[in-house]
Amino acid sequence: MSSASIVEDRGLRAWWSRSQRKVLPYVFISPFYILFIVFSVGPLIYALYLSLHRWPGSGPMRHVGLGNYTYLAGDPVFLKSLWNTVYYAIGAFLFILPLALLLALLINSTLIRIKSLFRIGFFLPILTSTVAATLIFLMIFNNQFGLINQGLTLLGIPPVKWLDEELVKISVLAVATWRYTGINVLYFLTGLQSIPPDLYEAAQVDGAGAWAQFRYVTIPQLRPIALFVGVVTMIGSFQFFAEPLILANGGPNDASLTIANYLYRMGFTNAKLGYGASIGWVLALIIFGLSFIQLYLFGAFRKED
Amino acid sequence: MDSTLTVRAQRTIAYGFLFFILISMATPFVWMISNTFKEQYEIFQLRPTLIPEEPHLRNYVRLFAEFDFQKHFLNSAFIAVVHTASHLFLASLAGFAFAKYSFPLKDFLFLVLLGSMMVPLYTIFIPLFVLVIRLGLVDSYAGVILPGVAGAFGIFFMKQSMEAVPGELLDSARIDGASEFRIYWQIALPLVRPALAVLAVLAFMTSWNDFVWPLVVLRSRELQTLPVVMAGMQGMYRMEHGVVMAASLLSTLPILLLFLALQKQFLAGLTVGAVKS
Amino acid sequence: MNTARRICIMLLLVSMLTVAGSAAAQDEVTLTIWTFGAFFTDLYKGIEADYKEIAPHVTIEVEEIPYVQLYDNLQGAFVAGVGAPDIVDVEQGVISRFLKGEPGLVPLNDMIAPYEDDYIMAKTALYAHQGAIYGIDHCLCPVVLYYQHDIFADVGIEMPIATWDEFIEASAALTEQGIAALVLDDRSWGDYYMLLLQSGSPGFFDAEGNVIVDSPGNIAVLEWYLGLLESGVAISTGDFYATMGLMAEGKIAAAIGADWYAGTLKNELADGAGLWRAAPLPAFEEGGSRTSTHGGTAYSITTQSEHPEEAWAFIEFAMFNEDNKILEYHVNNLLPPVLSHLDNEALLAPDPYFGDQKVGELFLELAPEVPFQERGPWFNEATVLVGNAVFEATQGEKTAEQALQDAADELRRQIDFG
Repeated sequence: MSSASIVEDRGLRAWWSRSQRKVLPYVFISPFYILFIVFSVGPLIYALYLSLHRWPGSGPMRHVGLGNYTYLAGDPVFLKSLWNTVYYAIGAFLFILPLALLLALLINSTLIRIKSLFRIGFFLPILTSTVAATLIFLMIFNNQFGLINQGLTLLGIPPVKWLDEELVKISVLAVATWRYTGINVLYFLTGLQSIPPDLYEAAQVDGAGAWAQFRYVTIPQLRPIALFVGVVTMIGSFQFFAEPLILANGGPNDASLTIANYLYRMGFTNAKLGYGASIGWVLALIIFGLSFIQLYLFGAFRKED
Repeated sequence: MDSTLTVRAQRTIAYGFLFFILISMATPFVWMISNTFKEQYEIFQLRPTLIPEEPHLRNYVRLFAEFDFQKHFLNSAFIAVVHTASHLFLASLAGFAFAKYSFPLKDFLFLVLLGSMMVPLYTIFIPLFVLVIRLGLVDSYAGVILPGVAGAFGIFFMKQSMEAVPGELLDSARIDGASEFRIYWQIALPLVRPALAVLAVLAFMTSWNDFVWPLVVLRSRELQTLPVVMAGMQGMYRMEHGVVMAASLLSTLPILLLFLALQKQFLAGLTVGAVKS
Repeated sequence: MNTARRICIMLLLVSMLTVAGSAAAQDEVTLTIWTFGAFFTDLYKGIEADYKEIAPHVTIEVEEIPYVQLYDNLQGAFVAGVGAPDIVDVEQGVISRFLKGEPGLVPLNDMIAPYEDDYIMAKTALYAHQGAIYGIDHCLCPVVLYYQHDIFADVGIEMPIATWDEFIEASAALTEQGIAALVLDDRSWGDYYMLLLQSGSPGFFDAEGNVIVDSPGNIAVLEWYLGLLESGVAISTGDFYATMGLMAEGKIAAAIGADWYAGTLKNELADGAGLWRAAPLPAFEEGGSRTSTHGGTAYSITTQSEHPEEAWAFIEFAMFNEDNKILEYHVNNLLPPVLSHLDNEALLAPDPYFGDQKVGELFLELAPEVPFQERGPWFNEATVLVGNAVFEATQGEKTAEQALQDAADELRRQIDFG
């Protein structure tokens, strides 16, 4: 790059306008990186240091090398929480996201006129405080006297133990679906409405039917937002914390416990700061790895412009 | 062939499905509203009532009289407004940079940004808390707002939306001599209004509902936010269900209003035609 | 006795006044207290003004922090080395994590020593480790049997019943009518633990800190517990509000619970006023213990406090001044763990909710029987594992013996790991 030739070609003003394009992007993104280094990287490094020790938060630290990590690999409760978390993540991708996409497509379609009613209606659950929502769902799911079981009894079906080992994860997923579908509808709607109408017009001119428009305009154009939704959902699933805790306290018998719940139990409740930090690091690595794969598959790293 | 389905039939099916989901989702919420008008014993009757038997407003009265609802409401509102405004600015600016410029280390920096979203709060919780204490930010709104204000989530979201802004528009502005900040502010930003509106709702909601962090950072009762106070109603030995639900209901109102105010923006869409005019 | 006590307290107050007076030149002291509920905040607000008269240079600052976060805050402050309050209300369920490493709490042995004969020392066991006592409980929390008088009377059962065997035998009449005599939790450790302590076990650990979760005695109590559930004498409902609903409908006749459980019943089952009574727990054998203990919250002083003496003086005022403890009882239903307070007429008054029964007399009678227990730094780990064991055993996934053995093995493994 020769700035001299640019000056010759376009003058000083043009030179600055080219140069500021090199400098300003860094200025634009710098607030994030400054805050990130101070408030995340620092603590993260300290957590890594902690994860190589056993320490109850006071007194001398005992260095154990990778001892916490090897213990983790054979810790049955951790493995159980890992499986539960994967279960929730798969559930989110199998139920929440397809449902959200379907709802968004319907709301966005010309078939539906009262769009705002549905947008607001689907969005309401996530506005509800977790405490209040969970109280309501406890009354809905109670093994013996919950609303669902009372309904089943009326139909002559014996009550189902929604919060027992076999079904508790499904019940938690149901609450998550209730709570998080609406927000994903909103994401997809944003994506759908960002598609320039002239793309559809052009497709119509080319004689494309509804399906062809969906296949060749909507789906490719939705890709950025779908990637975003996918990554956010995956990260959210692996950091899933509140609902299993409040609905079933991670139980019974740890059947609904997530990794984040277990991390909290170890790092806080049991004051195993080092072990908790190692769980945190494994969790972060899992999330990082899965996100990277997702981004790679979607081609997020290809050059823009 | 699908054409055997008339538009009318399609519409009926679509509405039927949407209403089915809507009713399923609204039921717990409606029940919650109904419970705000009930005494505790009625809430826990084995045969629950949807219409309160003896409706009253005592839960709401207690909320204001005993729990200082208005003060905590304003605290939450202040934090949420400051957070939302700063977050929208910082996230859209960075999102614009990532979407519309090529610069060395961009991919790496973006990967770092994505990586930051993946850091679970509980992994860094204790170190972060210790840091905030050491920086003297404890018990201040700065301590609440600062760590999360330039969140990667918003930047990622804005980048994805900014991708759709046509590069030619920006280039023609450059030819007209507009500065890069002006291009961001006057051309790119208006084009992504729908995404900004969505992000505003999300940012406001995140801040408004945030529980763990304000609780740890803020200690003085006068500074406490709504979710913290609501969790406090969940006592060890007794929970005031009616009051908790009333508080929950009232606390949804600001986000709901914001949502209603901004939802026209969601619809605005990104149209090149609108830009040209 | 009561008058003598009052004179003692007057003397104490006078001496405190003198100390305060002589220390007039002393700097102002602000004592920060962290607590988790209005029922403690109201106590502190209620005695604040009185204390200002005794110790004018001391200002009490109460910070009410939700239970779910208070102890994470405390832990953060300990790790950071700054930010902890002077006094903290430590709920018994969370103390064990603060006993690991070098506790950030001050041993209170010397301070409680003068009260050894009056204070129910069994309660200090909840907050003790290796001989050091880190907390002084607000509460006696004695466990009794709360029962619906009319349900038992209808089938001709007379209360109190001396032993569990007799209770089980008599309950058959209720079982036949589809009424459960008792409610017991099938998925956590709390009810099992109450009964375990009543049976004479020190709980999950022995005096040396060895795990005794799988001791023959503990296994026997769990087997017996399973028997109650299997025979239908006891039922489990899965959640608190279902229990309350079934009690209101007369499908559950009784529950075991501590003093504060009376407050729960009054709040949740206001319509049951006059129907409920309290009785000593039936004993495991003739002449055996008739009570247990459940719950509690202790005053602790943190090592970060710059004014531990002033902090203890305030705790002493709140804890051993009879008027203050009676005030506290009115605020939160917690009975004082102090023998000389338990005969206060306010506690012995007839209680209309319990059909004018003098429930206080029952608590006074049972107070000396409140059982001792062993806890220490691994108690929380133990409760999670035993809770799971109770669940596995009640679901028939494992026998009581197998479930407790597995829990004990895992607990030992976790303790070895450190």
